[in-house]
Amino acid sequence: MKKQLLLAAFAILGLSSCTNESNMVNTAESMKTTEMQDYDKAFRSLGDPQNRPTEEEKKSKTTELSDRRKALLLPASRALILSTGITESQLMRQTNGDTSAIIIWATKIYLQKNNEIAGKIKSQN
Amino acid sequence: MKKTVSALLLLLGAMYYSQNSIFVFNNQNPQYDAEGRFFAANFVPGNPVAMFAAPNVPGVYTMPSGIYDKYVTFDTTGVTSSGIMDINRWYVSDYLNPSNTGTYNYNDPFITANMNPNNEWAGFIFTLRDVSSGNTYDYFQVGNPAVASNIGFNVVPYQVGTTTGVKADWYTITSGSAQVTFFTIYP
Repeated sequence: MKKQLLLAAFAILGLSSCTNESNMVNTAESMKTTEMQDYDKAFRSLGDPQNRPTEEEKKSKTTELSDRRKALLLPASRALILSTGITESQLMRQTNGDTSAIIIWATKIYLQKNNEIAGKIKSQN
Repeated sequence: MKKTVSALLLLLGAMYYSQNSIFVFNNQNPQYDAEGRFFAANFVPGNPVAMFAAPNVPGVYTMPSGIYDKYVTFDTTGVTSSGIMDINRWYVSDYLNPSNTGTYNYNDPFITANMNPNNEWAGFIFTLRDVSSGNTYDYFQVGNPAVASNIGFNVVPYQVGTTTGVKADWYTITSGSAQVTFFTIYP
């Protein structure tokens, strides 16, 4: 009887540690702001059938993302930058409205926020 | 005074320009790890300096299913935010200057002084390993053709696995002297 109780206790312990683990994963995702999640979605959308490189784009010798595909990243990138308190006019002044400059800026913000989230999760452990 | 300031600005500009791009990678595929050789190269044609994530053995470098992480410079690859993508050592191959060939810690002054300013992310040559069955599929040679060809590697920016249909995409976004390189394996 004692043994069974002990076994049950261990089983519960094991199960609960698994639950904690999935909580951890949820935390990393849920710690992202809406704008970060939208940035994720925009980059993921480059893999959608209609957004993959066309035959024409594949022939290009350069690795630079085509303007067509960059445009798919622009709205979420702008929104992420503005979510940090940067104003529309500051954004325009800083980037001259250049799509690539806006995406690069947003990417740096995203990576920094992502780092902060990873740091917070590490300190929770 | 003015001259000093403009000289400093120029220097800063040159340093900024000569820095390699940030490398952002994301294996979105829920089914496959990507295992292979990850490498960078001198971006000037005629300078065949290669650097591989060490140890230089095919299959050792893995981008696991679901990973999202980045490398900012070659001499900071030993500390990643995921904690599991650290490149602790680089294997440098330089046959014009054989004395430079060898394995270096990621933060070795040699990497900072010689690799950071002259090299760029070149490619990832890999197979897909099914996380549940352990079987491997397809052979990808994806990267920046202009850079990889300097060290004799053939890569393409976009490739579809013939068996799995999995798509791998390597692209840059550039504005003036600022550049980010992205590598994505799609679901």
